[in-house]
Amino acid sequence: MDQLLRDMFARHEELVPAAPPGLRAAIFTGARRRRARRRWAWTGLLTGVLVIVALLAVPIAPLPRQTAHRQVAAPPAPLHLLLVGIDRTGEEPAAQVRADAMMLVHIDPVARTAYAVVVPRDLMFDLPGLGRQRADGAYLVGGYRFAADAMERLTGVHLDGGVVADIAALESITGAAGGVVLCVERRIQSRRLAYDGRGGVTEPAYGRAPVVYEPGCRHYDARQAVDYLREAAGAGDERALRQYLIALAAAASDPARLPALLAAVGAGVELHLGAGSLAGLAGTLRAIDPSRVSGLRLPSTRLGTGRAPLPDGDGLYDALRTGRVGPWLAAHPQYAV
Amino acid sequence: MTFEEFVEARLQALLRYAVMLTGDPHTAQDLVQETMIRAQLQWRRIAAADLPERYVKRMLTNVYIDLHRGSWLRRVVLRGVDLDETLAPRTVGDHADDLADRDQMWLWLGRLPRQQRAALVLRYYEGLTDGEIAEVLGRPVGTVRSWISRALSTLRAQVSPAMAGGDTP
Repeated sequence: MDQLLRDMFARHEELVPAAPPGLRAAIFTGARRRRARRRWAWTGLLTGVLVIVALLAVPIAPLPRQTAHRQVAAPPAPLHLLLVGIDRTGEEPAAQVRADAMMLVHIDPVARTAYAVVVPRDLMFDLPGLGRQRADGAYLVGGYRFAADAMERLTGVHLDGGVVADIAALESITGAAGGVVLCVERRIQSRRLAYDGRGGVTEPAYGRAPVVYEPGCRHYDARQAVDYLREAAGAGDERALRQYLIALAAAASDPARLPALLAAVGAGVELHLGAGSLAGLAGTLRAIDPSRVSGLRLPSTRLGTGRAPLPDGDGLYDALRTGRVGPWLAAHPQYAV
Repeated sequence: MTFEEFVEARLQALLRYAVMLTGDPHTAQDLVQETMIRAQLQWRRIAAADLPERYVKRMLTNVYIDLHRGSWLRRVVLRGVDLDETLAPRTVGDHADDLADRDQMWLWLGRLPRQQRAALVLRYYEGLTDGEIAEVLGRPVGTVRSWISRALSTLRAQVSPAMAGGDTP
């Protein structure tokens, strides 16, 4: 019988087609497409991080009194923040990883809405001394300041501040909150976590069953909560993120939890804020409902292997500076995410 | 090793393995495509493994065994075509050439549960030891051995009368 089987398999080798070139192409384009989908998921998470920071930021930095008075008197102008998301899990120093997602957030304090302008990762920037570089490379080369300068030069918008966050930061913040209770609506199987067989979770590997999020409300630890958020965001479920933010806000209002939370935000999230603007910023952000943040793409055209920004952003840069992004987006629905 | 080098070196071998699993070149290509897309997305982890090819083979086997759960095949490949009909053994003959059509053993193999078929392919085509098969399938060695022995006895029960009738060499 053994020999029969071996012979049979050998006979059928001629069924095997030569790998067609189309198969290789399909593999590479398929992976690119899926990566792009993951990056969209990131924008939701980044918005979440921003709101968490806003909730917690006020007590971190002392507020210079004079600046605060001047701000109260000034008419509320639109605020601009640069958000950079890094998909590292904590081992590498921030300076050595590429930016996985970058977006410019436009906040309208009067209308209490925000717009997240997603910067394509392969957008070509003109960098001083370096010529044209990809947007994620700009972060790799010069860190936050470099990427922020490039954005300011491109759009003519003054950035009021920025946030750099990664998965590890989200996990440590969630951990400081003591985990969160999340209500899962549809069963999701994790692609990044597996049960280690001893009641914990670890990286997937041979013989380990993947973590499954079953419907129902239960308490999740930091790692599983963040993993679930990434999976849910990837599946287009924004309710999960909102639930998570509410749970975090509740933890932040608990005086026993607050010191640990603040330490986690201080250690894990890189804040780049102009002096004195922090309190005003946090106040503004609190008024904004994260589920009402609209996403839009930075107008660009294909250029070789990357993308080139349109000279005036198809009118977007002007709309950003004058605070008329809403009407602009209504007139240019093709850029909505 | 970069992912591109891996594709260059191993794509044909993986395709052969997929044909042995599915019994059908078209399904095999879809299977390889889906697996390799997943592999590219987590290439860093795979490249760090001792045997990247074994890792990818394990992914491919899992995708194949998951077929009946309808996850990727229903979504990516079939788009509404009835899954059972497409994968039923008699359809294997439609796609395969005359040789396979005549080969009774190939058809019987196609009727085995997927895990049993995968175990047989790994032992008799890939030439792995039971321990290695257990690793690829992510099951204990004992489970794998019982799958193989059940598969063999199913095949034996069909081969014996056929051989007595002189249909198969």
